[in-house]
Amino acid sequence: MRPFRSLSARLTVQFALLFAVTMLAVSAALSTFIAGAASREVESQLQSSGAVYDRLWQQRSRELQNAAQLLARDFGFRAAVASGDKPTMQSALGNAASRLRVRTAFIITEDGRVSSIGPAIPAGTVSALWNALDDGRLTGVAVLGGHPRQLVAAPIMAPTLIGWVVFASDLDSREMRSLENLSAIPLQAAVIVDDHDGWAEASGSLSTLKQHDISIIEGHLARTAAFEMNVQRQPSIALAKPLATFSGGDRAILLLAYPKSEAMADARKLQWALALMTLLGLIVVALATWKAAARITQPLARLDEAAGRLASGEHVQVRVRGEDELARLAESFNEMAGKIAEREQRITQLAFNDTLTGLPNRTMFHQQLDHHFRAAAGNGSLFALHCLDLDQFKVINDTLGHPAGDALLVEAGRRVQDAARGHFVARLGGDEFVVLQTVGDDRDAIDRLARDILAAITRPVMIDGNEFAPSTSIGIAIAPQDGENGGSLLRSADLALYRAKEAGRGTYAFFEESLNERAQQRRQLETDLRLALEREEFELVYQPLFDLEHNRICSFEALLRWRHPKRGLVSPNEFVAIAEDTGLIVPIGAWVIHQACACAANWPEHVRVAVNVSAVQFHRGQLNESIVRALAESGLAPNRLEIEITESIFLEGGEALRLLHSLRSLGVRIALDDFGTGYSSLSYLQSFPFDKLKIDRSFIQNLLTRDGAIAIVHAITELANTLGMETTAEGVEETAQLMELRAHGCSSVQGYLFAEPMAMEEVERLFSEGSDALQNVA
Amino acid sequence: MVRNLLLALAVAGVGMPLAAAPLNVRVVDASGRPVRDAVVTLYPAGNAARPARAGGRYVVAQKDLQFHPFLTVVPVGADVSFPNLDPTKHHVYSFSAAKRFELKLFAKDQSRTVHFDKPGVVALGCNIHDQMSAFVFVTNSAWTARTNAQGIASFADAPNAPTRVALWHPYLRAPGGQVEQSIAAGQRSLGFQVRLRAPPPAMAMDY
Repeated sequence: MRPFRSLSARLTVQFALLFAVTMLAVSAALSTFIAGAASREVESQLQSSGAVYDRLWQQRSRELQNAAQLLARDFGFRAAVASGDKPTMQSALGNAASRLRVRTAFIITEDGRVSSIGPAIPAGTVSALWNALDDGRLTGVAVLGGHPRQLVAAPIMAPTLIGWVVFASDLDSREMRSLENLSAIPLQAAVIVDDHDGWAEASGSLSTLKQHDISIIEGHLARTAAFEMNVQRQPSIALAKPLATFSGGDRAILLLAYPKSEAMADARKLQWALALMTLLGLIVVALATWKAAARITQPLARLDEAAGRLASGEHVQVRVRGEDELARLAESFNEMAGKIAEREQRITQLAFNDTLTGLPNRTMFHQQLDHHFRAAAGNGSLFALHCLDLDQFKVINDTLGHPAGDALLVEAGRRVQDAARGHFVARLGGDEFVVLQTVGDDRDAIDRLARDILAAITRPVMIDGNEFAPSTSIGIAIAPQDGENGGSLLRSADLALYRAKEAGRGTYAFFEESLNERAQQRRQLETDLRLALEREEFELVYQPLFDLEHNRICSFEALLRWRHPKRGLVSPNEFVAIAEDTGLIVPIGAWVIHQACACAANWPEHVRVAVNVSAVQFHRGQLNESIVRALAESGLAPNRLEIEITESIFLEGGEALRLLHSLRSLGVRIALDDFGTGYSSLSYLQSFPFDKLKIDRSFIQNLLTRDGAIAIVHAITELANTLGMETTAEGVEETAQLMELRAHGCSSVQGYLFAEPMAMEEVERLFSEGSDALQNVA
Repeated sequence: MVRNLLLALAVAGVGMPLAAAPLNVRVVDASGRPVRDAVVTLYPAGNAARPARAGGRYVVAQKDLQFHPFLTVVPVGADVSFPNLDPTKHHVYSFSAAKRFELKLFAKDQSRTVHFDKPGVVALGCNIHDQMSAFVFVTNSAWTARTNAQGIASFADAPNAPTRVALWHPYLRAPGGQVEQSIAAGQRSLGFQVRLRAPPPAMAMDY
């Protein structure tokens, strides 16, 4: 079957079909039964009519026979017949015939003579009659004068048989009509006779019987059941009764017929009523099924429609009615829709919000930024982007652990949000926060907001029972002047943030175009730096360290120089930070160690070489391998190589000590550079036995001018001596400084007072000339 | 009594000067059974014919509402008396052409005599009692015999001439109740096969 678009249509059609089939079957059965019953009723009517006719026939026969017998026994009549007294015979016959209401009567004598009243009887008929009578036949149908008649005879005995008296009663249309009238049903009666010339309707109301009909009739003679045939071109139910004939060869049939249309009239009415009821029932069932189906399918259709809307992203709920399965389905649907909405909300939150602080995340920030750009393009307004970076967050995170760091971030987020109420605040990740500020005519509002944020952040905060005074730096870029799109604006703000950090923490800075230029220079430098190693643009210069005890050069510090093809000599201050940021410091550092060792191998035994190692190199640079390889390739004794580190290596965590020990295990010396500045902590000295402390040049420069400087230097040398460490004073430029340092027990000095950094060739020349020049200085 | 008569007739024939020879006529019905009480009469051609000897007295009594005997063969000119031995009255009649008569309602022990002067069959009836029936065969031929129980009528001195043989029986189905055959001179036997009507029910007792 073709699939239906609608459930209710399918249900309706299926139920209606089912019902129709059932009803049709029942109707057909009933109709057949009705037709059968009507048929049987008609048949029984026909049979009873036939039986009535039989009785009438017999009754008439008896009446005639009695009369014939009475006449035949009359002595006078017998005498008249025996003596051939024709007038007497005729009058006696006529008398009896009129009494019996028959029109034909005759006498056939034993020797074949006939005396009759009524129609003359042909000779052939007489001999046939005589034979029949002689055979003892006394009743039967015979055709006389072209008409069938019922004959009744009685023998005339005087005392032997001398003849027969015969009465013939007409079987004409009148007789048939009276028979028809006797019946309870409007039947048609006819007698058909075959007197050797074929069948013919002898009398009756049927006029056209065909040979075909006759054969049907003959076929049903043997049976007593009714049959169907066409009578006067009407289908009829008929009954054929054989009638006894007088002559042996003759045959006669009484045919009773009942037009089927009349017979079935009542049955037809019943069948029509049945058909009408079937049709009505079908309509009622179709309507009822349609309604019932609609009751089922309407909620389904609503659910279907709701599901479609749900799929297109709407938040929908369907009305729940009743407590059946459909209602439960609707409830489940609502629950599902609710959960989908919930999940959607959660997904959105995850996608656009930072889980830690609950602030919008980077994705949402970018959307907002785009939105602000569009708004600004639309109405020509300005907006400011504040980029925040918590100062020293890394330290807090490292020293107090991540949970504390997270708590700080949450608190910082809350404070920024409070301070920048009404503006969009987001956390981009790590300790980076941003604020988008829409600005009207009042440009000072930007400064006010930046100050408010700084003030809010700077309030002390309690974390894990420790009080902190957090601070932040803020870089500010103003759109659209500082950036035409989100990316460039953010870059500008970042540059401003760097500047703020450079300017000292806990402050804010606006982006300026020069920042951008610097950034570009830096990027160029970065590109050049990547090529510098291959192009062999690096070179080392060596600055001697003068041993105050032995008054001779005891060591050279290898210093890196970059001879840029266009810019000339580039200061390490300019490029080391970049090399560290990019990780280029690792190969560069390895090259430095290798180069320094190779150079130092040519020097006198007591002269060492010192190499600076950055914190990045120390932690990520596979430093040990580089050193081992450099020592092996140069053949330099490990104790002639001195690695200079700064305290910044300790900022990376507990790994530093382990790395220092493994470095020491190579046999190289380790010096702590720039001692006394930055994060210097005496605890480092306790935790690792450095070979040397290098006193920061800031102490030496102020040695003679600032009160207490000598005391500090003295304290350091004392401390170093006590701990068994050497000391080197850096940046010695004046003889007075040298005097003081020598007086306070400093092991060695370094600075322009003795020598500037020199090329490798100069060092070698120095050794070949002798070290007197330097000694003179000392 | 009838047998004696027939025997007498037959014996009388034997002494005839004409050349004579025995003739047996056998009568059977449609199913081949012998028919008795059939009357066979020979009518030789030409001067060979001889009338039956006339005279003689015959009796047909009415007793127990029946005629006795049922069949009586008499020569032309015979007188037959009809004594009534029943307590009831009888009305004996005949419509036969050979002899029409009526003996009306004669009482018990009355006897009437009828003279039969023409050959032919006379059927007797009683107008009061329909079942009473009897026949008087009046013959004018010297050769008249009735079949016995074997259906055979024998003529010891049948004429040696072409002869018409007539057969009559009360219930024979033929016009006049009679059929005929012709035989050549010297034929010594003849067979008849006839169809009989059923006798009237009341008369069956006599058979």
